[in-house]
Amino acid sequence: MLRVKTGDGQAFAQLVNRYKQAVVNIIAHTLRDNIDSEDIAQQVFIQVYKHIDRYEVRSKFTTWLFTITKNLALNEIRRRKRHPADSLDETEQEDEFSQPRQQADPRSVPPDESLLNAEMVDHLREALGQLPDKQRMALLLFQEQGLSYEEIANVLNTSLSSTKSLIFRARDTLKRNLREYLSP
Amino acid sequence: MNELEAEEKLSLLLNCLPDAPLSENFTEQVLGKTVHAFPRKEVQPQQRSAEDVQLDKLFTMLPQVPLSQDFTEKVMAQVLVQPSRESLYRRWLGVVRSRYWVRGVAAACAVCFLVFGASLQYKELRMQEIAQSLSTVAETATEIAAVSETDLEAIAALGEISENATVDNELWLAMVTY
Repeated sequence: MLRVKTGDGQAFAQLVNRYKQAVVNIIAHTLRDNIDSEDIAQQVFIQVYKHIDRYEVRSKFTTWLFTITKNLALNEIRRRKRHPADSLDETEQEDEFSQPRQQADPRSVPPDESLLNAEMVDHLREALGQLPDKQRMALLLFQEQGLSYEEIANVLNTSLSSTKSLIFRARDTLKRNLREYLSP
Repeated sequence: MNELEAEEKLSLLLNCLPDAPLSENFTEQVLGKTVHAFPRKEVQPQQRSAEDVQLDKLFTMLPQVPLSQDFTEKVMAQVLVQPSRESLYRRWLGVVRSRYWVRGVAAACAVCFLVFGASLQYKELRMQEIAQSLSTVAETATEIAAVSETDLEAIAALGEISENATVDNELWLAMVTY
């Protein structure tokens, strides 16, 4: 980051390479959209570069990066709520994410493990999509990125107890919605 | 107990959660509160933890979102097009400091000042001319009115004067002063 602050382009490219997947994953799972998420992820890194002078070396870079990611993702959600007709990709993407609409055939043999896993992942995505935005973001940062409660609290600009509550409630909702897949 | 009460109790309990390492066990009192707060759920520690493990496992199965190969190149291209705030500030300082910029602005200011002054001068002259013309017209109109109202015979006499006749200055002066 020190090198990036001095205007080292190569260092910035390394930074993008290291964190691009994490940023895109969070945005895609927040927006449930693969196409726009890449554009927004690019915006995240451009924001990082533009406002590099605001970054304090003492604080953790990922916290700052995910704060920008969260802001842009939530802005996009708000924009879509205001102008629902703007994004045509969204409807296509929702179809892609949603569970295949087919009737279960009672005569069919049980699906193999990979198919079952794919189905479980689809259900997880759907259940994630039904969570409130803040709960979803907190859970993704906790589960996918392995951020600590304190770091998530900093990213979401909430108290530590609220963060714990958000994650607990999100997990609880998921467990209730995915009970049939979680039972041993 | 309704859901709201349960959530409030849950928040209180979460506030009690130690921020110290997880290896530190809950006290008997906190455990007792937990069980008391959720009597309906009939907490079954083994089943709940199995659910948690399964949920964690499910999260690990979430696939990576596909990313275009040239993602970094695209970002770098946009970053290079949009110079950072710091470099913009430096460029602005450079422009301010350059002598050509100062000279250009000074010349433009001088030209603007000259054009503005000349236009003001022209307007003032025009106003003076108009005022002079108006005063002349007003004087003549007053003289004719005075003559026409007081002496109809004189007007008739004036009408009879032919173009070739010479003007009797004494008579004209007498008429005007009368």
